[in-house]
Amino acid sequence: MKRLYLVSLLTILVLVLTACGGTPTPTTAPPPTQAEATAVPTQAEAAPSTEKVTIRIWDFGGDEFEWIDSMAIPAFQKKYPNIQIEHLGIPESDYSTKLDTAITAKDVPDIALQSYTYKLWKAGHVMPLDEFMAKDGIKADDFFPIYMSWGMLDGKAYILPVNTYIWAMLYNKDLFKAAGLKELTADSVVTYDDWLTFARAINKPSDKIEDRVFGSAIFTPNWNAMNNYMSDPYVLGPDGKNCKDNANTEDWVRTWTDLATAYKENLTVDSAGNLVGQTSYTDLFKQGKLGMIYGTYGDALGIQKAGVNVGLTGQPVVTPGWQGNVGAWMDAYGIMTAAKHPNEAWLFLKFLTTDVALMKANGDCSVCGNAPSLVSQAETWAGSDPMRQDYFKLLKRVVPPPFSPDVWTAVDPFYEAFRLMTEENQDPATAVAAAADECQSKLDELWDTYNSLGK
Amino acid sequence: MADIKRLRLLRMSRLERNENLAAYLFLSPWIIGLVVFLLIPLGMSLYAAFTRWTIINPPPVWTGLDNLNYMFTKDRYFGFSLGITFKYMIMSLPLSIVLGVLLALLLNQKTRGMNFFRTVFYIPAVVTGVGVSILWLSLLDPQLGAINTILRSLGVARPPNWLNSPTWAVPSLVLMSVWGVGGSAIIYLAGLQNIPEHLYEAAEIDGANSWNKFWQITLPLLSPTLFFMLITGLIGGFQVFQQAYILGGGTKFWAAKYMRFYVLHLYIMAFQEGKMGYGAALAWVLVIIAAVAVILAFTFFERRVYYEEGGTKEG
Repeated sequence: MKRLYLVSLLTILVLVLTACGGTPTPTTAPPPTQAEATAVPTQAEAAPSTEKVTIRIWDFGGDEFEWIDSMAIPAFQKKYPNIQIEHLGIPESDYSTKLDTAITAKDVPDIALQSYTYKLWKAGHVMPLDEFMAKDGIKADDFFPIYMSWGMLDGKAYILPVNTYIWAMLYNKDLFKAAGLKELTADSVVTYDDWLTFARAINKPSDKIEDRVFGSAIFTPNWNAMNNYMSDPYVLGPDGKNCKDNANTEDWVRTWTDLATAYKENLTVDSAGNLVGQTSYTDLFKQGKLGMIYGTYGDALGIQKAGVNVGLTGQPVVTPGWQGNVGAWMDAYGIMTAAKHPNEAWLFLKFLTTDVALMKANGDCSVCGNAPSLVSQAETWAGSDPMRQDYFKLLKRVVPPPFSPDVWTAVDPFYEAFRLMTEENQDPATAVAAAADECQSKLDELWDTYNSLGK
Repeated sequence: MADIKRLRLLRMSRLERNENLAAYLFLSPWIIGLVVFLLIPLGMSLYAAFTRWTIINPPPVWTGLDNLNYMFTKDRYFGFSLGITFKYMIMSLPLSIVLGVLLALLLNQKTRGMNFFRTVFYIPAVVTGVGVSILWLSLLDPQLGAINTILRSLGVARPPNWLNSPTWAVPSLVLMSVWGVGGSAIIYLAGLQNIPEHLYEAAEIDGANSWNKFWQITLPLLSPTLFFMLITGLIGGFQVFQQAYILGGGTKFWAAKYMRFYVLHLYIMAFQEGKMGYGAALAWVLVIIAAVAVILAFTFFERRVYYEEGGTKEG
């Protein structure tokens, strides 16, 4: 019986230890605590080591970021052979959750793509880069104005951008001319009333796709004009806290009315039903069947190569005369506070901004051909190419919006508002008012959550 | 009674005590697992339900009933998601029970090739949920999906927008659940095959027709199985997540609004918005709602279940 107990005890001990045993403890030092890591290395400490280190970088992966593997890593490792880079792509829909989980598990990458990750900055999980930038003579002013809203919070810089992209309006110059419309330039500013007039002039109805020409793709403001500050006042107000009074103005109601009208008059691809099947806006535009779409400079290049006489101009604005008529974003990375190798991470980050951005701007990949984020580099890159010059002008024109924790979530109710206007014929003023109320409610919650971070 | 027990313990032989100890020792890994992986997390979850705990900003801060207050007064999607969930259950549960029984009756026929049919109808139940959801995503595509293509060929000019439509989003999921009815039909089939043949023979002798036999013999003797499926269906209905997540894109944005089942809403709040404390509160409220629903089901339906040994509880 005693032997039985001994065997039982030993068996249980083995089972429990096996079940509870974790992965082997790494031989490298554990990541710093948040308090320790908030202190950015001083200049004396900032010299990178020459020992072999591996840094990890996370982003959305896929075609959009394949340049990291094909361009950035090989070029960087030629320059710094002792620094290995491990790149992990995480689908965009799961990225935020994965990063949050990594933070909780204290197992973060050294570098992570930063895209509306303000809550992480506020909570202290992303390292301010001001000291690194000061040491290497990089200033916020060196980048396009969008950097102020995309990369800074409470006066501190958290990212270095690679390339800067625009959401501009691309229009078919030949269709415009045939419809008797004046050519637009990078300096033109049009309203949604103008856009509706253009769409009506270009549109050619038909039941056959061969004969059909659409006036425009739909330019829903919650996708561009709202978050990109194309109205005066800004849709969430000057302090980013008031949607109810600023998303419900006369200008906004008129904008939504114009859009719903275009949809109901079948001027847009979006109301075409199954006439176009799965054909993309860009393909329709390349076939000369679409007068106006929104797109990047890279899209415009692709369309130009397809033989379409394409022009680049700003998107319609909500407020007549408002000059901020372009949306922009940056693919930008930051260093995580708990990064194991912040100095080496900074080297790679800087390399992406100064070297890889130019390689991508001149390269041939799915997202290549867009301007470097450093203004001086971009100006040189634009040179005397007319479309590049237009792109450069439009980028300089972007008005950085006031900060809000998550503009996308806040303006999401306007999707439903548009559906109600177009599918259920609800009066635009009523639909917009209801959406503005819901927007305010979401915005209040977002600010509430945001303000509780970092305490 | 207590004295007898105490006396028994005192009189327990050393051998009996040793045997008890051995039993507990062998049970201890399971008990440790139960405590560590179930009871402690349950307790922590209950605590978290009364805290403000954002996943990236620990530790949790005690806020009392704030989460519940928010749930019932400010969370626009709490009632909405519960409504979607109940709508789905009201539509899918009766349909799956009725169709499952009908299919089981067909599969219970003694004809050639019945094994083949039983296999074929059971196959959807073994296909992984993710695969099924992606398949239906393709079938329900408003432009190019097979279902709308067939509807257009039948003369329907504007077929439904299915997953993006407030009217058709939930029925789309019901349609998907009905496609998998073969799994429950097999369980009903087992119940049918347990019904003694002599009862049907006796009924025939007494002049019963097919309807009489079904109503007076089949249904009462199948009622325990039906009741079991009702309860498990109720519980399962509250837990719909996978289909809603995949068909709705798993996002908190507009496109997924009509797929925002309760558990999906919980997931979005806890893991996408990072409000773990609120997510825990939602989870516990779901437990209470599900428990109430099951208790009501027992109250109203158990009395009508016929147990061969003792009849129904009604008499």
